[in-house]
Amino acid sequence: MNQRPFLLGTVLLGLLLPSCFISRVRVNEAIDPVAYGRLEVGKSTQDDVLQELGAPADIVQLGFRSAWRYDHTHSKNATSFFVVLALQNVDTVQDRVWAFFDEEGLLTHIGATFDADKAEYQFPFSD
Amino acid sequence: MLSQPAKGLAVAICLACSSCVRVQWNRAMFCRGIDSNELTVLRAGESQLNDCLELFGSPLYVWQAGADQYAVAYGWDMDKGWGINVSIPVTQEFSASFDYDDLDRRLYGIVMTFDANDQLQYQRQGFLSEIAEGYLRRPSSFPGSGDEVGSEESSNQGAEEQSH
Repeated sequence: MNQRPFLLGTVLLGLLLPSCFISRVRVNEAIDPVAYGRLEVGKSTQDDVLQELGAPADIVQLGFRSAWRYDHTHSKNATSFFVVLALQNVDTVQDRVWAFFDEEGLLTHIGATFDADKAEYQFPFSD
Repeated sequence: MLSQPAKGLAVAICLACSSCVRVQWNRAMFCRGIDSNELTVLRAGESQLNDCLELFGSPLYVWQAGADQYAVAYGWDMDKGWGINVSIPVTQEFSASFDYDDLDRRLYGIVMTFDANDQLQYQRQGFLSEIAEGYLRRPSSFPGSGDEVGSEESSNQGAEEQSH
């Protein structure tokens, strides 16, 4: 019996199987779109925003006004090693909310981006 | 043509070096870009912050830009490149924190400046390291919170390209 193809297949499998990994990194808690939807410009206050979204990741002073940042980062890393060749793709996306307040602490503007679920495992040559 | 022993030696070298020598093909993407056609929708002296937030979503950065002005920035990045990496791991340490400082150096994006009445004054497009100086001068809120992935002696040679 010719065992050469079997041996070759086993060696190739042994080389390929332990040489790939995927990993995922999340930074900060996900932002709840429902909680975000409960905030109303001109009505909600800083206390309301704190109650709905929790503590902000950053606070920026804009004269007498202020803006708060919330973000949730999601990265997916797919890496394959073929002996000495490494193919790596890292896709990082974010959920972000910026809430702008006037000098009285009333919400004047708010903007959100919910993309964190769009991170993908891909090869570097994928579209 | 290589002789049989030479082939065996080449394969053995490849296998032996695979843990410290790598030819790499990398791609790193950060967020999704904004179509430059969409930028023409906003007009200086007319558009408001609300228009900007509705059109592009939440910005990446916001900062005070002068006495009565503030700026917002959107940024994204797609780095592609190949290289040769030689590394000798000494220890392993990993921090899951997100390093904005490192990101700032390579992000492409848009900066929009608004006046005290939230009216758009002007917008600029380019690398944030060049057009968002005001933000980059701002001291970090959390000193020393950057990534500490080091502890690896490495050299990396190759070509990189950026597309936006």
